[in-house]
Amino acid sequence: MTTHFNFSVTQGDFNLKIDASVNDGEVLAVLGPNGSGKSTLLRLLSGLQQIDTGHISSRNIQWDSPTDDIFVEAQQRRVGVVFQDYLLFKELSAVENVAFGLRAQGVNKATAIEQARALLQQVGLSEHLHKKTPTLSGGQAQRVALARALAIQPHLLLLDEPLAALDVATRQTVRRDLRRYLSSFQGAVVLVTHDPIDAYALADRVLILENGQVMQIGTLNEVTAHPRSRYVADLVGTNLITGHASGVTLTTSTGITVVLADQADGDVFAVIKPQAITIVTSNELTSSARNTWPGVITDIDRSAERCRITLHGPLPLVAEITAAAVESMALRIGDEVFAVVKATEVEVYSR
Amino acid sequence: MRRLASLVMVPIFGLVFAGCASSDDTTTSLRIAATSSLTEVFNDIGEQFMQANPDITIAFNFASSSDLALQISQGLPADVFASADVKNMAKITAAGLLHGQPVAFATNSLEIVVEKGNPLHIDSLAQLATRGLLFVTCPIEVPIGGYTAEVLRNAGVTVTPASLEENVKGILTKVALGEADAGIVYRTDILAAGSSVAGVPIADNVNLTTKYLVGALRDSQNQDASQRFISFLSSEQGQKIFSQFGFGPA
Amino acid sequence: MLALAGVSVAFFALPFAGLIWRAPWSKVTDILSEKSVGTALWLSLETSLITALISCIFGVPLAWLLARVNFPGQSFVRALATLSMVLPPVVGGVALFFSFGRRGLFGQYLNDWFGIRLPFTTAGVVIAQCFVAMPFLVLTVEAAIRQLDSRYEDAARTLGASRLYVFRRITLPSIKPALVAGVALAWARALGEFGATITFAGNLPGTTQTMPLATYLALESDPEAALILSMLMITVSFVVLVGLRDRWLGHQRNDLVS
Repeated sequence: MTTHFNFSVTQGDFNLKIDASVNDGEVLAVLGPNGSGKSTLLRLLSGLQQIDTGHISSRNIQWDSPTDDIFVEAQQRRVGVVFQDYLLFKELSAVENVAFGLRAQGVNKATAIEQARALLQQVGLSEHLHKKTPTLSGGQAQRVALARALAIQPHLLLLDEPLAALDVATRQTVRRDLRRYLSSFQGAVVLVTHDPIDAYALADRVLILENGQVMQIGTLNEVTAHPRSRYVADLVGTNLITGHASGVTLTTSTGITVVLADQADGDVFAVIKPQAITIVTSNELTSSARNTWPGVITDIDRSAERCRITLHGPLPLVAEITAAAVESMALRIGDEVFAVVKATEVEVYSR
Repeated sequence: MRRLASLVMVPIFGLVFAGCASSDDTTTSLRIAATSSLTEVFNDIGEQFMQANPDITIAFNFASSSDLALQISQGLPADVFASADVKNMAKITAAGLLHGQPVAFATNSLEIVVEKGNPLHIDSLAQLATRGLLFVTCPIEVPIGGYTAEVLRNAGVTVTPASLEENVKGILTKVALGEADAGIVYRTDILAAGSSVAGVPIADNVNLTTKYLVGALRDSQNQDASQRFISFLSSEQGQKIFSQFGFGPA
Repeated sequence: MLALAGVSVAFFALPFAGLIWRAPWSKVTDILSEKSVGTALWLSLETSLITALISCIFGVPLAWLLARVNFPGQSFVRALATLSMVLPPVVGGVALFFSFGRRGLFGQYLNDWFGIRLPFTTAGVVIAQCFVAMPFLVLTVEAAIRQLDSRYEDAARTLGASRLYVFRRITLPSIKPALVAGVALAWARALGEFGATITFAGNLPGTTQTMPLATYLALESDPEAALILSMLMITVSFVVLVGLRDRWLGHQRNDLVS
């Protein structure tokens, strides 16, 4: 069983157009920068907002289809939503929050509370049942929000930046737990995030949303191997070059040439992994590498034994070298250097 | 105590009234506080008086005689007071606020006011006691309220009013809108209201002749102009206007 | 700032101080024990409380509609609902005649079909009071709903709650302080209503003569009684308003802070 959505909606100047689907038991991560339309997508899927054209359906039931004059409102869809800052009802206790959906659908109080209690036990919160939600920690609140969304036994679960509100230390634990809960969830999951780590940890497939358009959709490996936008390349931490190939030469729009190992033709993308770039301080040396570009160091980001060097030049690049190399070459921000790349390290694929 | 009672109200009325008065040096501004049943006729009188006396401008303040009596006792700045009954003028006289004696200048009589076309076919005071008939009047402190009570007593009719209005205009408005069925007002009011209401005469043997009194106020700085206005009311020209509006001679 | 605030306080306090100063205290018991005073006071309380209740029942949904639902002509409806605040009450009373009077646009059918007549009845007093008082509640509650984070209501809807359930369980508890304030304002306005009442409902002791009417008319016949009646109204309103503030608003404010 699948949830399909293929629609277009316009708000002012902004147009959101998505064609995708997510199967039961599958987690689709929607990755995109701020303003790419992620939140709007969640509002449309949950029924808080209507699409202009196209349709949204879940398990063969139309939820939104303007041409058929069909719109199932949020309260009638079985969509569980974990909101970005959880939006737990402040006046209610944890267990009352989780029981809210059941009570709203007419389940009697005792049954609803009992079911809510069981759910909270599953997420390890049996000790905090009767706490008012503002007194819960971030991680606890997140689990209450999840339990509340799952209580209505949704067909589709939507997670809006479920970890963004947490501090770094809690985030890892909560992410691990979330992964466990999601793996036992029967329905489809759409996870909206701007953090690629969430996608790595939780998602089966990734949808890259930029400026209201789907840039890429596929498994994580597919998307990271062949980024099709600077946003994805930056997320993955690789160098993406866009240009036109002819024979073994790629020419960028700014006129920089990149020598390739194999023949290519037409409009292409090329990726150069940061680890594949060598930094030299002089281009006088003879080298087997076919590509050498000048650049100025604008940033040195040290993490453990490795450093990421950001180069500003005709072709902006990120290189990754060892900390020891930075030490011995005495590299500093502002130094003028050269980036050297073998043609075999340039991977080309068509646009 | 009466003085103190309306401390709150008087400044407001005073301000409004003072605002109407002209401060021009060459003309005298005459402020006349008059009972509301004189509204239409005094507007005509005022125009003709000002034509004859270009050095005087008139500003009227129309309200029920009882309201005006109360306000004057609280220091309402006015030069002349025209009352619809003896009782309210007597209050002013008794308080020593009058310059000289009050003068009667016109009379009026009462009529039953009904909705235009007289849909309920009311032709006598006795019918006002009909069950379900909406009769409106004023509290007995207001002259018309007192007169109404007197007329009904004369006719031996007991009527339960649906409402006690603030003044004659309140009675007329409610009857004209068709929200009340009948009331008792001055004959001149029905004439002035034109076709919006109809009048039913009251038999002479129970009807009243009501007297309008006018007097110059003691605190006025315009005694000469006040006297000229009061004389004008009784003049041939003035009396002609009163009779046009249905008032009787004093 | 403090000096100006002090002027405001004095401006509001002085008229009451004046009333207290001039009130004939030795006659208080005589005047208050008059049956007509009790009748007017009771009628005032009765009608103003019914008005507060009706304002609540109809005003809160209207406030919700204005705050939460986008529809064409919304600003027009909002202006309409608050028009009676700027309309001179006497004009409002005449307008009520044209609509609810027995010759009115709507009232004629009430009268012809059901034999219901509103002018000169206690129901008419309530109508007049609602007309001028309800906007106070609508505006207060609308502002409060507007300030609420609507995402909580969205969250409740995704949990399967109908609009009514969301309103009852999420919106209403959050706006309770504003609702109480709105009811208090509407009630106070209804209690002091004069112009629309005397125009539309008339003035008859026991039926339509509320305290403000009795007070105003007593100014002509018995000014001392008028002073005492004013003091009585002020006392009743003051006790209720102060009580409400302490009991509901003060309490709620603490809750919000914690």
